[in-house]
Amino acid sequence: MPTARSTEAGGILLTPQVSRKGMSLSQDAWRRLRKNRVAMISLVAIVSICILAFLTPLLPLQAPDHAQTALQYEEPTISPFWLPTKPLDMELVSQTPQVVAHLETELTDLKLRYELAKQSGENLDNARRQLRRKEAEIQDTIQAPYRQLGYPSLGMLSRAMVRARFALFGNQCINSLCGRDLLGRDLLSRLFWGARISLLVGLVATIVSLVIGVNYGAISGYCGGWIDDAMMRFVDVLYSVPFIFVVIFLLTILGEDSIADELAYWGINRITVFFLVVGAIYWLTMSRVVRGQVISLKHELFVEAARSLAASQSRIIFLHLLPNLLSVVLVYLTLTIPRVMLFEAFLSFLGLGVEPPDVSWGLLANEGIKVITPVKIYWWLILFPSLALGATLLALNFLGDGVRDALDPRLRDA
Amino acid sequence: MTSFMVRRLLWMAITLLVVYTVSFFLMRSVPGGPFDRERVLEPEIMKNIEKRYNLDKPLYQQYLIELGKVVRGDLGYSYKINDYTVNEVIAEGLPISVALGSLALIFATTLGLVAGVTSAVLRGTWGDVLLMLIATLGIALPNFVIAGICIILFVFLLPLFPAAGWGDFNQLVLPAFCLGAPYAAYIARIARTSMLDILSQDHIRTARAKGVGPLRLILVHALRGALLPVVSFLGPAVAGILTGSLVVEQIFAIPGLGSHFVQAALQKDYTLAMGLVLLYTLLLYVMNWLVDLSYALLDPRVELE
Amino acid sequence: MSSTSRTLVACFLLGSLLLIVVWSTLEGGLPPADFTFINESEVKSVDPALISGQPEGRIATSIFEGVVRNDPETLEPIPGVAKSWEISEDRLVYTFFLRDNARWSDGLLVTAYDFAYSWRRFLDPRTAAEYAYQAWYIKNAHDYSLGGSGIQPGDPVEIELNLPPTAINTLRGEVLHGKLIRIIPRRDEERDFLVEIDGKEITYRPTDDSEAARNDPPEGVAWCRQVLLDFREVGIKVIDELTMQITLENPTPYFLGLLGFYPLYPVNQKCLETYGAPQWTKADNIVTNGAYKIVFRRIRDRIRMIKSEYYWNRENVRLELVDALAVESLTTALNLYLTDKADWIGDVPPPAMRELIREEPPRNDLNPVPYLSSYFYFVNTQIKPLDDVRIRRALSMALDREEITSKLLPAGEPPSLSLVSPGIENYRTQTADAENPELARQLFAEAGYPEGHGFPRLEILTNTHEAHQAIAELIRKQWQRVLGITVKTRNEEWGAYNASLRLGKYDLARRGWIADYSDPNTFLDMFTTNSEQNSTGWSNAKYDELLELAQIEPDPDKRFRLLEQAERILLDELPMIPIYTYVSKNMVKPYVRGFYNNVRDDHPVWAMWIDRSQESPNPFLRGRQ
Repeated sequence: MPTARSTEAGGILLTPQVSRKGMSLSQDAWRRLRKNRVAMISLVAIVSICILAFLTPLLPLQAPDHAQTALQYEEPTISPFWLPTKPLDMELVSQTPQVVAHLETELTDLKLRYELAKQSGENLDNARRQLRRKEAEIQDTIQAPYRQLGYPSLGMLSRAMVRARFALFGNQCINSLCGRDLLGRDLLSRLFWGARISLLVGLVATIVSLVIGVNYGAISGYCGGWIDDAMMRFVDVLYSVPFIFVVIFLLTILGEDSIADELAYWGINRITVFFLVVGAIYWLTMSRVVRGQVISLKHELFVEAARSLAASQSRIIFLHLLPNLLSVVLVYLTLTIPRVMLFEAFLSFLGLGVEPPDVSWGLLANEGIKVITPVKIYWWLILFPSLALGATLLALNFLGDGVRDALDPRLRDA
Repeated sequence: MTSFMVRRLLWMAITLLVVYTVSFFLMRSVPGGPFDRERVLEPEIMKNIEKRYNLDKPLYQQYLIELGKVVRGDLGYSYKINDYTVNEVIAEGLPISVALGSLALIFATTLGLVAGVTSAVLRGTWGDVLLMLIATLGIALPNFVIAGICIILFVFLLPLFPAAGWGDFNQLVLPAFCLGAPYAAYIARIARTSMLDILSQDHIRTARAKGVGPLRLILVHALRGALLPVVSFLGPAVAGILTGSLVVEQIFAIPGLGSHFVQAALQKDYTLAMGLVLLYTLLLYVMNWLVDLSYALLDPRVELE
Repeated sequence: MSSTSRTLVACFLLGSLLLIVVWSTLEGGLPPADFTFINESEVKSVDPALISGQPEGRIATSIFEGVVRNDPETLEPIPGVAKSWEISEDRLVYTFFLRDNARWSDGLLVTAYDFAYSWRRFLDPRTAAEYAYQAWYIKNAHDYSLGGSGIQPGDPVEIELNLPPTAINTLRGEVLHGKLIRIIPRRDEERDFLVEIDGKEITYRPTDDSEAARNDPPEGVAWCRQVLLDFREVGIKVIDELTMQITLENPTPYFLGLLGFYPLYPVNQKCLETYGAPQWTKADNIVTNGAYKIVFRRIRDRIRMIKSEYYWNRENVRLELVDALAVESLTTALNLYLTDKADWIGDVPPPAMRELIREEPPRNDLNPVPYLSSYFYFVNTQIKPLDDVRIRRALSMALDREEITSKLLPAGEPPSLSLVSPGIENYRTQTADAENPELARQLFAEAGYPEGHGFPRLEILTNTHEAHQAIAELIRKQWQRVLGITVKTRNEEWGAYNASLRLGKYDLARRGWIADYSDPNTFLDMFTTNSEQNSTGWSNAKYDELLELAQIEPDPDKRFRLLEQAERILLDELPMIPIYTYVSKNMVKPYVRGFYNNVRDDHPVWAMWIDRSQESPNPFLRGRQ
């Protein structure tokens, strides 16, 4: 499992003596974790959720954005289990590369014109608009056969998976086991597609914060002296900034039309902004903990040894110290992902989360909350999204506790 | 002690300045402004307004002028609500948010402590598992979901509390509970852990051997030790409750700062939003500072650096 | 040991301190109101000149009163501050006789001077009133409100001089009268004005007070605030304290109705000039002339109003204490209504409406009916390929309006193929082509986009609101389905959305229009070439001409025929795609009386009362199927 493997990978880089110790440590922890029944169940649950989310396009589900208003607010149904669905227009799919190739040549032409306009400064706006239009047209052409069926914008891999799904299961799809929403879209498939975004958001944002936090903390701790002082002061200052407010402020400002347009041109959409901003918030605690670890580690024998072998500073930090921080990092990872996912749900509630036709669990839960009125409760619309979100976060929390206990019981109060 | 205070104040000023500067320039980078009307204004009128609000000056001068005002405590006019200044909005909203937050904090600590201690005492039984499951669920569910469920349960199925609004104590209970719930859950978990630690320590065993009754044992001997970790969680809890009120105030239509901020941000009322960001920075700083101070008072071993 | 007991004591102290804080902030002192209604969003202002929305209108109509009022049931003008009026033969001159017992809430008489003051202020370009065009029917009012752009050499003008920057901001500077000789353009659209006053020629340069106080004007130039048409040229004349005469540009059959609409309510000069803006709007300062006055206002919570003891018709105002709650969320509003914390809500969340309307037996507090309004999409006719009328017609024909209304609009909103909604007597409804997917595809092919190939990506712009977004989403899918084109949706907050419309930064944009007065003109004049509301870039000389002819046509029948022809042109050209007609979605407790369904969904609070005996059926439910 990831825990053991990555620790080993780190261990190889260390001096033999320490690496043996490291391995035994991680094996020990793994053994302890395996004894923890709740944590193991959680681990299995999380891994299966992740695999399912990854394989979603391959599963025989209905398309997540396929509206059938005739079936508005249909209650969960199990029979018949299979429903027919519209087939993928393979002819259109096979034609696409040709059309795209043609459009690409036009695009290069427009790009050239844009460059010219940039130099002369004339008609810049117009040239840019045309360029963007063409780019959008290419995207539309590629997505057209999938969009017809009600899929959101898909990446290359997902498109291949959707094609494979139609080859495998043909026109069969599972009936709406979790009911349907206002537009008659199938909640079950929306939950699966939502899982992809929610998990991705949680994971990527956490990793961003991890990268910042670990590096910052490690550098600060290793350098010591006034650098350490200054860097930690900075962290102290940031602690007092009400980040949720700043994030909302930022998201609304960056959502302003002209700015969003500009950002979109650089391939930055709201989710990317979210990754960066959240990553930029959650690294604070990480950097503090890592710094503490580094300070205690840097006087250990193997670091002294490396130093005496005239290893460069950065080599010592990145190859010798960082791998030893894995336990802290793992604990932090499992505890931060749920927080980030909750934060995304929170932003969805305010209408600042992912944008349709993309879905996330937070968005679904919010749609469910909106249709809760005392007059009629469409219970499936709130129950299933909360269940999905709640169960995943519960599992992550339990796993986080388990990993923490297993790796280092002393960290419990961290 | 004094130098500690002075240093803290200095850092606070710097933080506020940074937050202000960043938001000011972000705000000004957005097209449109306070005087965007549905009507097209006469050029003379537009120019006059720009002069009046110094918008015709270079950006750095505007920055300095505005900064001067903020330092004097004048946060300017709301872009969207003509009849109010930002200061007036804050003056109306702050007490409401503070009251809501205080009650939420009381809920969080009492419920959390009771649940945590009970769970530790009942260790290994179904009661323990159930309590901890509820606690973890409290952490795992977004609080707008918790609030929605609470409204259905306690407003309609069991008509105990009003659905929304502000004015009397009854209207405060449900929102304060929803706001405090996740923190009650955290506190329950922390209290349980530290309680278990203490129950296994020698002096408790000795006390038990001496024949101290179980209730007295828990309340007098064990609880004391279990409190400190809880107190140290209060800092983050206060910060969380302050910001968590964004959602809860929305759902329960409470006219506190959280609602004001969300509405201001969504309606692009940038002056109001910026004023509130500054205020929250200040509040958070003061809170952190108070928590640090209270450590020193509670635990003589901690010294203020 | 000691440290832990200190902890306990400290915790206890902290806890009780917090409790004290909680108690101290709760007033508990606010007695319950007689009548509570949900006023949706927080009002932008209570100044009638500066507002434009429905929530603001409800407050303004409660605390101010115009020359006339609108009857709560028929919306016909009935006497307000004026007890009677005379209209000249050519329907151009209105003489109003004010009642001698209409008083401000400070006890002083409401006079003709108050109206002249308020309307001048309303038209003043410096006030920048959004609704200023509601007064442009008055002679020369348009030119006056255009300020420097409304005057030409030779016109009599007035020059407002600067005041010190510290002066109360509602005060007017000294006003000089003269004759405009020449306008001298300067950089950045700024202008100097050469004016002759008492035989002397002076060049005036408009500037802000602060600059005027700081710097001396350049050689040969004098500072002023603004130069505009002489107000004495505007058709507002005070005959004596209780009589005034209004002269119109054209015979405008709906003019009286407009006087009952909030932009033309009077404001109190003394109050404004004592406190300045916006301080005068504070509950403690404000002086009003309507049935109610504000006693308490808390932002995003409530406006509490109490019956005014100086209101002339106070015997017939039966609700003593009224609360208007600012509750944004429809679900929260419904919850409050169902738990008896509110007596009237103006809107119901769609999922709940679906159920409420189907209840058996039918509810005794719900009766949705269509009113004069229209929900449609603007088409930006200035960009390719929407400049092609075939494309616009095809887009309209490709819509399945029935699907939209039946699935997304549960209150029974009727699908619509016209701009002017049905319900105006004698006006014959015009319609656009009905749904026809075949023909739509054919038109697309003719325009060069067979099966949507090569058609650029279109974008639907909506303002941020769930219902609009859901409709846009469904329309997107319908167009995709029928025409094979790619459509995106984008939503913007109200202010930004308006700016995008004005600047033409959209392809298709949703728009709603609720009649300001019961006449087709309120819909149709939106699409004239010069209309500020016309953001489609569409312009049709014949259309403009028909509307102008209608303006001066005294015969109501002939006038309607002209307007019908105009709408015909509009619906053939389709710079807008009609979608549906709004219905009112009020839920009113059965004991609330004086509440009627009417053609503008306009419900003045002063007409309502509470009758718990409920002996007669509630007139609100009249006409229900």
